[in-house]
Amino acid sequence: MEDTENSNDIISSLPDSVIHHIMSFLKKKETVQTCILAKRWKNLWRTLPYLHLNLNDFGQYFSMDSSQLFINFISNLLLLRDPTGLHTFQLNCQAPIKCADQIISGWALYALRCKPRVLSLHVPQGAALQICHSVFKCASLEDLHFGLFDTGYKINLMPRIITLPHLKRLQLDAMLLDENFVENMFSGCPNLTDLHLSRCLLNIQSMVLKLGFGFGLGMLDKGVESDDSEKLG
Amino acid sequence: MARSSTENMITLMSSDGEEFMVTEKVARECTTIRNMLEDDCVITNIPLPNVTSDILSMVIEYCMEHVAAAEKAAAETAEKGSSSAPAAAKANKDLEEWDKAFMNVDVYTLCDLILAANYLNVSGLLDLTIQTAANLIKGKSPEQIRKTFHIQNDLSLEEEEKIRSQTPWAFEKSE
Repeated sequence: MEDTENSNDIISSLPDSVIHHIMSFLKKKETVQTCILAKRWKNLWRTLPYLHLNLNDFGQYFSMDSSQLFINFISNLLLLRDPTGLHTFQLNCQAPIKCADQIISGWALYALRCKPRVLSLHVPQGAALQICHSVFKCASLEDLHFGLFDTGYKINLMPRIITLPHLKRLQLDAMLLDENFVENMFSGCPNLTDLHLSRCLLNIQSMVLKLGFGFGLGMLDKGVESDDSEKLG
Repeated sequence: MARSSTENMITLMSSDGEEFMVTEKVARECTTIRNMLEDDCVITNIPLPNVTSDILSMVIEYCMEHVAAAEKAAAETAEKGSSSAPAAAKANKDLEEWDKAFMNVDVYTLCDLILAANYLNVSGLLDLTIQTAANLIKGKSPEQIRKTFHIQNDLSLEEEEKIRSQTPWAFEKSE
């Protein structure tokens, strides 16, 4: 049944970018495992520009084994991949990983150095605090989704500066936001057209927002004044 | 933007010289062609040297089906003032079923369609074909993947062992 002609192996003859696109729909483990298919596939995973890393893919919630496997896998993956650019980096640790804040923020900082366009992070509070300054000044971002997996509303998201000149879409989950953040967000994201806040707590005394043309947020179309000391968004 | 209702026809020519007459609307489903038309609106004949006639006819079939579905939905919305949710859901489901049946092809055709969708930049068809290819890989052992796609394993046993030993973390069992 084996055809000896290489030309019959059509999937291997696809360009790298197309194979990467296919790989982006696979679990990361399956992606790396393609390295033993044939010589053509040996290093393809190393240049994959889309990284979707989900703790859920590594077994059951709250199991120490699965979080250890997850940490081990991702640390190796990031260490051994080629340090080329990233288009998309998604990291979902939607379960507690013990003592891993330092490790998780290390992964996120690695991703930020690869100038991603799409960044999606769901991380524990400790890690979020460590990386938030770097996230909000990553100039390559066009689409940012940043959230905490636990809603304790214990930390204020307070990046020192916000400079996201290309950001079009921002989604924040389970964050505590103050007026300083909201003000800086609008001045630091001049191209923002799409804003989603879910399960966020807005801690705003009083402020007036002036929004540019074409800003697509239904509830804030002219200017909004809020006198409530706390508002559930 | 103001176009007369008589539809412009465009001729697409495959790599093996076959000609396909399509409406401009169908041709515009291919972003690559749409860009050509926008650069030069009098163009009526487009050679596509990277696409064979059998693959091109499938791409056109896909585009026609999707244009027809979009037109039908728009007509229904215009008629009733607003689209009824159950009818729209059914139309979506029908189109999904059509896509699924359309993807009932061998891996060679599938890969040719991926290349054509990539070259012509038909985003819906590219997503559909790429997802189909990924589904054929998911959950399979390397040996099964090689068999599915007729991948020639040109690694010696020693080489394969060496790669495995360099990436043991990728072959650890979870769950």
